[in-house]
Amino acid sequence: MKKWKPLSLAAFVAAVLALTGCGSTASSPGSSTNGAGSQPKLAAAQTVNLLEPSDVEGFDPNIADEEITITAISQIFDGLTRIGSDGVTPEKAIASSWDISSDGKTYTFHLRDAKWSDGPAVRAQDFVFGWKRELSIDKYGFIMNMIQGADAVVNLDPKASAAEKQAKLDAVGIKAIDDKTLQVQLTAPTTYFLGLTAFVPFYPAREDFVTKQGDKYGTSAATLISDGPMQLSDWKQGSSWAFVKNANYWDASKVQLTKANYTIVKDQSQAVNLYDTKKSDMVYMLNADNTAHYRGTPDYHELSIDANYYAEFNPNSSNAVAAKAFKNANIRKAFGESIDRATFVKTILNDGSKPATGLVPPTVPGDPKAAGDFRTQNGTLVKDNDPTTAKADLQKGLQEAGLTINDLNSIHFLTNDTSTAGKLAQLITQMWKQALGVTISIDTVPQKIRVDSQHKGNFDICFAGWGADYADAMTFSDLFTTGNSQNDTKYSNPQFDALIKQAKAEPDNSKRAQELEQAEKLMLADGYISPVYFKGVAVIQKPTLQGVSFLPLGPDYDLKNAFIAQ
Amino acid sequence: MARFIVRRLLYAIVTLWVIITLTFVLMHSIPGQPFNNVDKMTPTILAHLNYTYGLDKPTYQQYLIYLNNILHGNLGTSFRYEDRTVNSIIGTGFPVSATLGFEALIFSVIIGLALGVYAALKHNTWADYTAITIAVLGVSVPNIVLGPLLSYYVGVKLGWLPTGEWGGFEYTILPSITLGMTSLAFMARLMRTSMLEVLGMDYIKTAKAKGLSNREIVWRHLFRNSLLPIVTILGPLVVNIITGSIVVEETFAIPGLGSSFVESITDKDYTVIMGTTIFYSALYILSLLLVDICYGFVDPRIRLAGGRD
Amino acid sequence: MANLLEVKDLEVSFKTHGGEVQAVRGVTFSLNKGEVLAVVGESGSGKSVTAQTIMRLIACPPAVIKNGSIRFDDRTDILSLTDKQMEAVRGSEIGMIFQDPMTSLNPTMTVGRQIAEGLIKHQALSKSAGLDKAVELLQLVGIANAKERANQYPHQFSGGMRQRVVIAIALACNPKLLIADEPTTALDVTVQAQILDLLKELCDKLGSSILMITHDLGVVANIADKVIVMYAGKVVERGTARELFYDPKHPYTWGLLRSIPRLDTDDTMDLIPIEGTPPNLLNPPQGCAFAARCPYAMDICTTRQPEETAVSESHAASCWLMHSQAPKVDHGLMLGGANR
Ligand SMILES: Nc1ncnc2c1ncn2[C@@H]1O[C@H](COP(=O)(O)OP(=O)(O)O)[C@@H](O)[C@H]1O
Ligand code: SF4
Ligand SMILES: [Mg+2]
Repeated sequence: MKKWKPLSLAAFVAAVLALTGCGSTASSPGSSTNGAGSQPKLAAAQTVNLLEPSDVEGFDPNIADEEITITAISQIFDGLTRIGSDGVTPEKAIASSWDISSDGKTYTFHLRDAKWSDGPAVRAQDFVFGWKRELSIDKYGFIMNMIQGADAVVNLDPKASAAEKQAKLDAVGIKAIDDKTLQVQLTAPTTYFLGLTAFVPFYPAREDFVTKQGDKYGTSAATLISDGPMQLSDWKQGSSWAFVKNANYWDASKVQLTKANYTIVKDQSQAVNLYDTKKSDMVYMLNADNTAHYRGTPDYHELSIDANYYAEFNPNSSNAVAAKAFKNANIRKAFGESIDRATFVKTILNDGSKPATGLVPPTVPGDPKAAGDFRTQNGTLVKDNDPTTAKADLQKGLQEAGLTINDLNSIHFLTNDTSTAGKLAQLITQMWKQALGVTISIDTVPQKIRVDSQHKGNFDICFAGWGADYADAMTFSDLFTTGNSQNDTKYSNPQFDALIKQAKAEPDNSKRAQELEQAEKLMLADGYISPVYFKGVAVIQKPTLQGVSFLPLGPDYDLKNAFIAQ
Repeated sequence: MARFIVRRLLYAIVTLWVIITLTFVLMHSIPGQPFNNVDKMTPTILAHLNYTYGLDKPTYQQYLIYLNNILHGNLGTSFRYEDRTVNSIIGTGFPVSATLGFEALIFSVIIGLALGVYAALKHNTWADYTAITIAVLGVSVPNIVLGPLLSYYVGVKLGWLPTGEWGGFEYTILPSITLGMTSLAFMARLMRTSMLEVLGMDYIKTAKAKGLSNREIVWRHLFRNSLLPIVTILGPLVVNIITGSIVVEETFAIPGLGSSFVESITDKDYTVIMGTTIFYSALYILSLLLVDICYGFVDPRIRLAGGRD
Repeated sequence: MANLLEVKDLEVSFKTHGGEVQAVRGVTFSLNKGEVLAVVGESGSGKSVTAQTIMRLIACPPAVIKNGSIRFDDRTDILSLTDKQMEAVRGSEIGMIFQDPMTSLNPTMTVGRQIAEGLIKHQALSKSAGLDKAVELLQLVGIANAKERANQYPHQFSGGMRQRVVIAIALACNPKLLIADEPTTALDVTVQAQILDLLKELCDKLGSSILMITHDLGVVANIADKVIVMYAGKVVERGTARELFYDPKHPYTWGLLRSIPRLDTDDTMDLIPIEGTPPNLLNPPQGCAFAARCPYAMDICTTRQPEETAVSESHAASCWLMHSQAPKVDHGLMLGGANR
């Protein structure tokens, strides 16, 4: 059971730094440590015990591409910036200051005196090496596509010669001016770039060490160095790992935890047993089965994360009836309108997830000149639970398309073989049956096959989810541009494409946000997808564990400021 | 006997080859690809990965490369954990599974046999009925139910034993009991039936007529002969216990091969699935072979006839 | 001669779901030292149960010994011995041979060890001394290459050979009494005589008495000194072998005699089996148990049990025909024909 969550950090542009606390639904339940006065007393032992449902794939930041690995690595590394305890704002970390050129395309970072866990200083060259290594390994290289020359490396033919690849790498706009100054050249002003520098692919790597370890880099405590609050002390592959405090960390005086023990526990009922027997201080992302038992206790918290789940209606299905039906706007609309999202969220998820009101979930920043986040600014764009309208729209649509209601019974819903996905499919098809009188049959396949069929367009109706790669509406809107590999329904609206293109080059943040808002309205009105819920996460956390920051995208949480209270 | 073993070994190798081929074909005929983070994968990244893992080559070439690697004892590299070879995954997981399986086996064999012997010797008394009831319960309550129950009641509510994880001996008790319960019950029933059958045999009367005490009869004549059918099922039982540990490892958060097998299946981690399947199959075939040989040692009729078919 | 074995009023029942099966219903007989006593009767008449009760091999439950005593060698009642005391008697003072040599040996133990087991236990021999003695015994029962054969398993022996092994086991400790429960029934006709001769010869040599259970009157004629005839859990006639063959008194004995082939005539025509089946012992008849099958049955036979009536000091039978008021009947048998 792998958790699924957005994969990169939230970030605000420098300008947004002023707007503190904006939409930070994900801040630490244990509350902040930085407040003066009533600071809780520290317990004698500062050890935290945590559980994860699967093993870390490796501690090499450049190969990390899934949530657990990313969460683990971010406890022991520090980037140029680090996301603050509000869960969204990038704060100074290895970089003590930075300058942004007036066109928004050149970033110059000034590094503080920071050290690697084995002693030597963290230098600008380590970032150059690390970032270029990320591009050349290309696990998550696409996240750097705003950096000049990055795309050329990522899109290089895998069979290209080493020399050719090196030439492309040399041309990338990342440069160490001196040991303490890093300069990055972007192709376009990128509002969220600063936040990205806190994210795992942007961590430094020290060439001498990485070269010496070769394939062994990051595979054990002995073959890893890091520059973050903790360092790896032990890793028993397949069963557990542990971090200890990194005495060489530049901000070590703020770090209270001396040790973090992680155990791999796949089965959540076992995780809950361990929590109940005080073998664990936290269980992240409780299943619906387990939330009821803890809801109302001081241990229980619900967070919002930057992820949206939506139904897709495929007008290009190989099923002729489905294709015909979903080419019709009224039929698409009818399917979206008849979903009762509140019931859905309550019965299936029950973990703090919220009925979706648009494409972009809350907390993602919008127009900096207006109040609220993107979501509040663009309002409710989803018509929810309206069987009467849905029925009328369906009638209209059927007439236009020359179909009967019985024809629609040959439409299939493609879903995963996990239990939540199964329940979800059951409920949503039942809602359609009740509201529209159509019987949609359910096809159940393993997750990877579902994704494969979906990307190839082999489905009638499907459920999809998207987690933000960065804290910006673009991470969601971009998906629906013509030709995007994630655009499962092959949605293509020139007006929409134009708006996105315009926003990408827009140096004015306010105008850019408005363009994205307009694009969202357009896309949802076309109705090829219908947002169903914004994902929430239920967490149980011992009241003694405090100061953990929960993050709406990227790593699940940050332990830098965490501590055990008496 | 030697000829018998050699012939069996040859069969085993052919069987294994068939399994390898079938697994390969099956793995490659399932749609979808084995990489992580599929929701985010762009076509370029996919192309890169396919190239790195040789998945862009024609299937027959991949097959030959795979076979050749197996011949050299190399089961490949995990797709999910790029730093780990399948050999090392099996190497770290299997000892844990084997420890668990071995303990469960010891537990189920000792308690199961004892229960069966006891029930048979107390035939048709309440002790017999109690033992049989335990056996029926043991067979009918699946691991997937028993594990969480034990973990919750003994681990959480009573707090007597750890609810899960893998540490010292005390961590192995609940999972071993869970894992061994079905076999225990099965063993007890089989042993009881077998004992009763042997008890009715004339040679038991002969032994009694010699003036042997009940203890001597049970140990020298009854027990050994009642064991014959047990030995036959020992092979399947061992495998049962190993595959059963897949569920138990999951329930009790034990870092064994079973849990990595399940994970590899969910992740569609080609090489790990194939490697583990082949490893399990080899183990299964080997255990059947060993049982055959063991059987020969317990039953002279077979030993001297040069094996059964 | 002193009585070696004295069984008195033995009653054994089995508790079953259907009720109580009264397998042995008041059996009395005695056996002298050195004597061969044959127990004859159709199958189901209670012979084996009687024999196994003497050995205390009968499982209680389901069996219940309801009444009676078994005195052996002028000592206390066998029925009152403890299990431990009984173990000392079995094998050492009373040996037993069962009907089927194919199943009465343990298939997973060498023949030598099976013979030695009793010796090791009763004569406190070492394991190797026990095995040596076992080899001697194998020689004694006429098995060639005894040393080699001792290390073999039962399945490597033929039926007759196995019965020899069984005899060796039974006689290993020179028991005073040998109980042989149909020792030749399961064997080839050609082997039967050899085994019987062997038994007789060895017992003569060792001075052991034999309680020979059989439904084969031919066997009786061959080796028995005394005979008891059992029917439906009761002794219906007793006497010396001579008396039984020359002057049988009970219609059931007549029936038995009629049903055996006679070795001295070629006349097989008058071989007549006894018609009908024995009574259900769950619910034995009130009168003579044989009444339903007896051609001479009278009214009284069905209502009252006949008392045992002595013919001579050694000969007695339980039949209303022996009552002074009963009609004289002719059994039509050509008597005394057993080939002795
Ligand atoms: N274990 C038993 N349970 C019930 N009935 C039994 C049992 N053993 C023997 N009997 C009954 O006792 C009677 C005598 O049996 P047995 O002594 O074996 O006869 P036989 O004269 O042929 O040796 C038979 O009717 C048989 O059915
Ligand atoms: S008592 Fe009567 S029935 Fe019984 S044997 Fe004698 S004559 Fe026949
Ligand atoms: Mg009998």
